[in-house]
Amino acid sequence: MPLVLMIWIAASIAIVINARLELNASFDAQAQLMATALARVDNESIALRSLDWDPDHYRDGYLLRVTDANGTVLFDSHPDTRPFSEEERLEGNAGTDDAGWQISHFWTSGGRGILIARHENSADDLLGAIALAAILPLGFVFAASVIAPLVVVRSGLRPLTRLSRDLRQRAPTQLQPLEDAEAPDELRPILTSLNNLFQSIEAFLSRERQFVDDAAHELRTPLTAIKAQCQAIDATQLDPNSKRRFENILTGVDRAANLANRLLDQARAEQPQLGGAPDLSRCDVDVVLRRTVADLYPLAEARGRHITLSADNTVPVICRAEDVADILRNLIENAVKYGGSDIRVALTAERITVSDNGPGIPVEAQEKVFERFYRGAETSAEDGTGLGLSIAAALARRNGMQLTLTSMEGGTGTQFSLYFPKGPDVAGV
Amino acid sequence: MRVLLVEDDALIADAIEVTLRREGFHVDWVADGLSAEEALASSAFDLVLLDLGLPGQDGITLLRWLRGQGGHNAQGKQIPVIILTAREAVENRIEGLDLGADDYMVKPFDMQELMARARAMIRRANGRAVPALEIGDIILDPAARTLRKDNTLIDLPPLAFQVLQVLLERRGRVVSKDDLAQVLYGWDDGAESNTVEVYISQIRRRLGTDLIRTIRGIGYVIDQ
Repeated sequence: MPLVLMIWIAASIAIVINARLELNASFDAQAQLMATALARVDNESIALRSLDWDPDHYRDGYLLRVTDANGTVLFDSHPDTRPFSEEERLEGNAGTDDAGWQISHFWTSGGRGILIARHENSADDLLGAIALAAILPLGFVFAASVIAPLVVVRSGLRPLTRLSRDLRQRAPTQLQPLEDAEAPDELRPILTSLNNLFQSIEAFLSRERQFVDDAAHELRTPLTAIKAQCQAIDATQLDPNSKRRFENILTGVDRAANLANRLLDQARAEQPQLGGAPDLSRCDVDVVLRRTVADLYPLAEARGRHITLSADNTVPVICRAEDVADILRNLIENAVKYGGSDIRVALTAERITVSDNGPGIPVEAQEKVFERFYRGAETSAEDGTGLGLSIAAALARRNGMQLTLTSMEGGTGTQFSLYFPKGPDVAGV
Repeated sequence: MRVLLVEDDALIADAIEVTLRREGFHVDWVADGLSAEEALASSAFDLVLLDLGLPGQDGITLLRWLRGQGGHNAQGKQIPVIILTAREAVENRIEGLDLGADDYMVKPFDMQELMARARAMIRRANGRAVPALEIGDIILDPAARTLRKDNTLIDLPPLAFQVLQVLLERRGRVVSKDDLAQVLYGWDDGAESNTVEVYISQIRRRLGTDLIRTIRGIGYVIDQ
């Protein structure tokens, strides 16, 4: 607004000055003409130094002819212009080669004739000159009043554009406060509110995590008591029937304890990495992979499965080794439990694949396998908690990796692929 | 053997106490850190089973105090401590072991395993030899660094001996090439896991090819 006001004032001043210059010039010309005529009538002339004389200037617009009683011309401002006839004088206008004239003709009491003719369009010329002088500043005002708001609005919106870009680029778990040091005053309340919101979400999330952590921990204590009490029974004193019941209780306790552990794993895997990237480092995935396969090999053999491993890649990947080990453990355990007799694990530059030749996963179930507590139709609560793949997917996300599933029905098996992050940098989540 | 059990949960403490008694231990049970301090100050124990989540003074504080004042058993050796905890976070574990705990068990633990570890701790604290590892007619004595087959001493180069010992200690488990290389060279050397094959073949030449099974591309195992 102040800008537009300033332009308006400047333009008004410019118009006034221009109009004044034009009018002054016109009045100067008339003054010169009259002074010259008065001098010439008495057979004198204007001393050049008494006037800022411009011989052309004084002819501007006005024609003045003075004659004495005999008709002798005493003064003629435009000697080149033909004399006007009696008729023209009476009519009050005449046309010559270069212009039309408005004529006023007077007789003095001494018999002198005074003829004053004005260019027909001298008023228009003056008006035109003044208008022309006004158009330029007015045009400038107009242009400025259109462009200025655009520029102002655009630059005023820039912080907002930047803010929305920042927000768009954020992962849902990035809750660090927004930078408000350079923000304009108008944005500050919004930034403060957003930061307060982030803070309370973060507090909420950490309360949630703490709750799951505490809950899993609190669950373990009574489970430990049950298990310890069961195992404190001298099993040699039991009859076979009681012994079986007793072992079933232990199995149930172990299952509950396993669930508590998995819940804890899930809560940890989904933990946002506050303040940027998690503690990632270069890790030799081939070593991690060999160790995980080695750990699970006896379990697989006991179930009659055969694992083959091919590891082409020895290029380190930026990730958390423990997370990758957990993901692979989940995938291979799944393959051992639900897949066929052959499990193939392969490491290439882009990914790790775990494939089996089992029955495959029906298409309608494929999207659900990564959901929490989802179990396939063939599986029961005894097999697992239904959290394994959901934990694996969360861990993958946290390391900037992607876990995908391809499965064909009808005995061609299931393949899970863990894609490594692209490029040397890993995003925070 | 006298064991101090520091555990605030009565049900858990009762079960551990009963089992330890049946195994022939003498058990003193206290439910909080300050009582544990008193007990440790007034009597000599061979082992402490320590719950970390104690009311009042917690287990870590007690452990720090115990290692600070240098608690000893009747033979003047440092008292071994096994930590029992429901928190499995790695930081907790590291803190406990850094403060001088000898072992760490996450609840719910297996009672038989707790007993086995308790016995092993006491044995080790008393400086008794590590038991020999046996499989069939092969006996490897880690303390004496001797290997016998059919009661005949067999000469095995030191690194191959180490490989055999690791595989025997982890019998029934597949040990990856990388882990074997790590045992031999440590992490820093960027160990060539291929050299492990050399030691495996040295062992096979002396003890036969059936003992160690190769899991192709993964590692080696001595089956149960």
